[in-house]
Amino acid sequence: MIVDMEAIATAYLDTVVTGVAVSGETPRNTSQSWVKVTQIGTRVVGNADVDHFHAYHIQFDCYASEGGPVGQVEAFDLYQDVRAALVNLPGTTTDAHISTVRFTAALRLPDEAFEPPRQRYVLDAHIYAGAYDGVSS
Amino acid sequence: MAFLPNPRFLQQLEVEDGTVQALEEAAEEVAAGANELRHSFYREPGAVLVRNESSRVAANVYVVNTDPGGHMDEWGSVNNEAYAPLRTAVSNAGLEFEESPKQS
Repeated sequence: MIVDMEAIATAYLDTVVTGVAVSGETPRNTSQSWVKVTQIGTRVVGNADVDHFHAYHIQFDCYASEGGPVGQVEAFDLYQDVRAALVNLPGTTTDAHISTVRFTAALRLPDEAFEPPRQRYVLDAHIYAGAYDGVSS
Repeated sequence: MAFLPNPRFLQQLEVEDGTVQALEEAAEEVAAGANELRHSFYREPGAVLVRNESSRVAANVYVVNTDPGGHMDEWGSVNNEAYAPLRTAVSNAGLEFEESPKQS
């Protein structure tokens, strides 16, 4: 059984990281900073015959409200907040046992589709979790 | 008679022809998968390539995306999703993906 980790991580960050929009899509208002959550992939951990425990590869785009040096600081602060929040994600939600969050990369990658390029940090994380049925411990 | 472990054993194993060939085969599979997954704006066929820069002291086999819009394809932008062809192709080839970005 698989869980919607993109939704779990989005709801979690939306609660913990206050003052910014957290969503799986770009918000209409891009003049404020936001976090975009995208699931890149999923793989079974351990016995491939048992579809229970997975590593969810999630990309967190931490966008500033503007470009340039001011935006760079803003994007970094947001990235720092998101990263710190995700450290505390492991535990049990109503849907999943989350055991570990492992960060694999973080890069500053301004989004060139904006003019001027919008400051952004991209954080990649692997979230290890199993489905939780509310009964098992 | 004492056993003296070869301190360079792993390095020597890494640069063996067979090891480098195995790396190349895995890299070719990843590159082929990434080329299938690309959604680039610059639709050059076969933009994802394998570069073997191995030497006698190190095995360095790279999968590189030469598409000028490859970063938008990989990580997305305000206008397009992160299709992540390289990262996905690594996983699809049955390999565990580890990122180690170049440090500035």
